[in-house]
Amino acid sequence: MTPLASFFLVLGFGLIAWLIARAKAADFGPPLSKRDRFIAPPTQHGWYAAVWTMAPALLFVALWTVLSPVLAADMVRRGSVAGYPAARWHFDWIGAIAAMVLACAGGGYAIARVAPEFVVRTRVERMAAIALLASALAALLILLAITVSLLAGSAPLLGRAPIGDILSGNYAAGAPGALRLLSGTLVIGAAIAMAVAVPLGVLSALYLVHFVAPATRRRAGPIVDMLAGVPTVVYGYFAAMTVAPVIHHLDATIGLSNAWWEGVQTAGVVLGVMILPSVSLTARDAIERVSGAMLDGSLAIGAKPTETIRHLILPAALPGVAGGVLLALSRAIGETTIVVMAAFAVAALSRDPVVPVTTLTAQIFDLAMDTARFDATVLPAAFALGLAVFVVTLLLNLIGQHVLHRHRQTYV
Amino acid sequence: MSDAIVRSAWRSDARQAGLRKRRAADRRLRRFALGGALLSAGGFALLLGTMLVHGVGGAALAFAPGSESSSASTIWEAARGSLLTVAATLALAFPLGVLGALYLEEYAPPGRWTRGIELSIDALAGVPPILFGLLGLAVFLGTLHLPRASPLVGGLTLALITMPGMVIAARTAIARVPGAIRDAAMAIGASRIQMLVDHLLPLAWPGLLSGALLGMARALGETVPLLVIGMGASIASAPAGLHDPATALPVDIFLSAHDRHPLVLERTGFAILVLLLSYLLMHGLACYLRNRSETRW
Repeated sequence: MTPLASFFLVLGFGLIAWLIARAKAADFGPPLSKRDRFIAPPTQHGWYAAVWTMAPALLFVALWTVLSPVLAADMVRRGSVAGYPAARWHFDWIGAIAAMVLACAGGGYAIARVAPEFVVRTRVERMAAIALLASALAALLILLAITVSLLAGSAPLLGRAPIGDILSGNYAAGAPGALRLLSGTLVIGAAIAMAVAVPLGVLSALYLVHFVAPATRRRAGPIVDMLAGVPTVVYGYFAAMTVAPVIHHLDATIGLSNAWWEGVQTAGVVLGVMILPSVSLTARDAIERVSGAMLDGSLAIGAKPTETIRHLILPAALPGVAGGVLLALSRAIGETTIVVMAAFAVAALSRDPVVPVTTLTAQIFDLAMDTARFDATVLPAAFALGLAVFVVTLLLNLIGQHVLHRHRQTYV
Repeated sequence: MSDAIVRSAWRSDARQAGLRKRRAADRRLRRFALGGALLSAGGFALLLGTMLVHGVGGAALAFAPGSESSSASTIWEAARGSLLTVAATLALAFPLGVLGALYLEEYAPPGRWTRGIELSIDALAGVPPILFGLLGLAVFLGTLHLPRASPLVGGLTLALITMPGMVIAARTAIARVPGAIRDAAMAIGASRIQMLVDHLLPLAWPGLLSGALLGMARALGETVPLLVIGMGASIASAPAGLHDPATALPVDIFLSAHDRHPLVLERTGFAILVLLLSYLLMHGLACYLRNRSETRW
């Protein structure tokens, strides 16, 4: 019985407990007083019993799913069973039976407590509060899990190779050094993409807010929202099909036909187009928040609209725009699909099969997908680079959020 | 002062020249801003236009009578994989997101711990998807030995990615329900849970659904995490369940994007069309629901 089947079995037990407890509570007859009608409705007795049945059993199933492969591997190593699948089957059945026992025990305890004077409402309230808190803490848990898995995954490499090797590239055959990857990331993501996205984004936000009729603005808003979430493969396909040939052609006419540089340009431009809507959205938000009273005052003393923009709106909206730019930068640095697809396209165009992928994320992707060389040296390297990307994007995100938060507090 | 002196101060040549320069600067900046907006709009029009043209071309060839290729059927494998994965994602992320949002809006005491939770949700929302792929590789495939390239693992990984967005959207929807509803329900004797489940959630439902659709739209477009957990190798047949190896639409497009063989081109174009239309449909529906949820109380 697989863990998934155990899971559904426990849910079935919970349903049965719910029905039994509810029937038992309804059997007490009409409520003795108005108070009883509120504090002990039969349905809540049902939920009480269901949670007591399912919660311990499900917790056990979750723990067992993690533990049993380890125990099974241990058993195989000690040679007391023939093969890993047999050991897993053995432990799966132990887990299933134990889960059923736990479910019955919990259900029995809860159903026994169903009585006319039992205040079930407070208990159900407390259970619900715990469940909600656990859901909210899930985000914290996931963040922790990512950090731990990245650290654990890269530990073999960090323990073995000195930092100098990682930076220069001796950690895996044919892989560029971390410094080179970082410079590639910065050039593509930070420089070119930002150069495309920030001016165009801020300008379109300005235009939308101040030079456009309200009706058009209301219709344009959701459209920008939609563009901000278009799947990145579409951008990658666009880069491969349309942009790469154009840049190849342009570079040929100018005279520099370097495959690497073409890849960088293509990826940078398309990356900029991708984050443009995000920059525009945050910029628009920041520009709209500038107080109307200040705007009116500026126009009243005779400033032209664009002078108001230059001297009042832009400085006032700057923290908000800057926060949005930092968030967009973080997104650009973490983007993989566009860079990889652009690199492939350029390689195909220039008949040059060895276009070195030069961002951190693309290299992580390359290493993780390289199942042919799936050996001990390669995967820790992917995790190590992933750790670097994680730290950088986390810092950028936190600083960007902080700047935005402070800016919003000033203008609320 | 006599009229002549006042008039001359206002209409002096220096002042007029200054005004002309400022008006010209105003016009220039206005045109510059318009140019920027038009360039952005044009860029996106180009993007969507070329994608739609490619897609329609691919679709036309795929459905043309007498067409040799089986593009439509092979796209169906990828589409089915995408469907299963997104369904698994929703099943996991939606309850977690709504419950977490309920806690943050209704139960959480204002303070450092609550701020910490909110901060971790914001931080998680900005983590690059490839790192979630690595997490899935290490934990779901490595430690838990779940089936590789299955919609189950894909759904688990994507659920981690979409959960923060779901929490944020659900919080907005729940906060929009006026406090009077909460107070009235508790005044006639409902317990907190009864108030939340019977009164609050039904009213917040359009907003919650909109958040779910946006999350699904995002999950539909993710490629890298699915690739890292193994999707994309050639599969024998369409996945029958959550445990079978599958591929997904964006993964399919990614892997065959640089192949210029005409049959592959047509298939990729068709896939792009399906993906784009699905995304636009989901997003449009979400916007419509969000507008519906903004009723005046």
